[in-house]
Amino acid sequence: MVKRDRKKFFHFRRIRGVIKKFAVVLAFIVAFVFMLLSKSENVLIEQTSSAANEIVSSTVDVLVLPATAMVKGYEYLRSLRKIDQENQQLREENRRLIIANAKNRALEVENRILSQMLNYQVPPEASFITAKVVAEEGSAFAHSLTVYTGGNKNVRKGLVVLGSKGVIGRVEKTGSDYAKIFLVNDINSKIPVITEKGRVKGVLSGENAPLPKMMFIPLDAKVEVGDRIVTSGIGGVFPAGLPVGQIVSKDKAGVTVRPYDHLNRLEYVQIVDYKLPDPASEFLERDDNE
Amino acid sequence: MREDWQETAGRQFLRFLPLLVSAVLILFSFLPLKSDIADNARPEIGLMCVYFWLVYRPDLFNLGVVFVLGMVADAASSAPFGSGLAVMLVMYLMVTNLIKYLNGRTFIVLWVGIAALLPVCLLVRWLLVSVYYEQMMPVSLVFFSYLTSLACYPLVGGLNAWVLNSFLQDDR
Repeated sequence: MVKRDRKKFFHFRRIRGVIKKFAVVLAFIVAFVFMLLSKSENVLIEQTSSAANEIVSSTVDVLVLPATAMVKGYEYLRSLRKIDQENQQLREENRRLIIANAKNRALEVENRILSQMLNYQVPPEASFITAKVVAEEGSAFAHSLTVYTGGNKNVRKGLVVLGSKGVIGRVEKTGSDYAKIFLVNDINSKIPVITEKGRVKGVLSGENAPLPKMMFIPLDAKVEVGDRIVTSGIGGVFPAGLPVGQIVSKDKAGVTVRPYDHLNRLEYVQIVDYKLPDPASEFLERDDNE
Repeated sequence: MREDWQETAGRQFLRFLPLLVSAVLILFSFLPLKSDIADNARPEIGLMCVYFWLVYRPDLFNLGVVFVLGMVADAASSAPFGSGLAVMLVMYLMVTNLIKYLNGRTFIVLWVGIAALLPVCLLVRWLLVSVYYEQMMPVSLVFFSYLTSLACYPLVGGLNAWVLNSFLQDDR
């Protein structure tokens, strides 16, 4: 009787072991299937991921409250020491801005007159929202931000995201209250750019490294360390002339660009809709007409 | 009757406590920290939690829990969906096979243990993501992420140990 019970026990244990191994293999297969589905931009995965991101972002938003209060308190105490110095800097800046403002007004009038003479079609005015950064991710596998959009319906995939000094990325996913932004150094980020002085065209490509690289530039192109990089407008996603960064190194590995904004010091970002026509839909429309 | 219901609910809550604590710690790792290290080489909090709980409470942290935690990590991250889950499963496989060497050891030995297992997980993820994007990911950031993870392990392990000692000591 005891012998039979022992045999039964070992048999049960063996079956349990097989089931356990099968479950591990199945879990691995599910993980790979998820990866394949996300590679093929499956709608179900995209929607599930957006919904999950919404829950995760709102949780992080709550978690961040005490930490933000502590950081703000510390920064306030630190700023008190610098107030006098900042005041002098602001006076000097104000003086320069008054002069610049006068010049700008003159240029604006001149520009209006010249535009009228050329019969220039003014592009639609851009609209933007300012969004607070609630979460960030930075590793060898992704570089992104999650921002609070407050349910703004105009935020959609592909919109340009600006920091205080220039382009920092584009909107990748949108939810009801939050949006995920791929930063310029994320591997998914590819922005057509041009050097401001030499007019050398290329693509600013993220590699998940701290700084993005300018790729697809001609071999004999004259690019120098310190050259300013702006968007070229090719492709129709980003308008031309937006400041992006500055070339910091040039070697065999490529041309490295440092964005004007510190990607890890962003508190608020601007999501801008330049109301550019979508080239893909225009092609589709043309095909339909034909 | 009421007491029974409360007791059952309390016991069920405690069963999910390791998962809950690990999920909250993973979400904490997405807080904006405004530093170069945090922006480029964040510690692998999820893997550290999986390691800790599989060593101390494998009865509460089974394959299903690892799977759910992997999904939470992937939902929060913008890395390819499924890659985080895959490496957590790798960690699960390694720890469950090496549990006899890790069980009942001192904290220092466990720290050495994660120092030995973490590179395998990070390299697997590096390989998976590199194949996914058909481009090599920067190895230097993976290495820095490994270093920050090792540096953070006492903190993450300490927090988990506090939860373990405060809430889960008597329910074995």
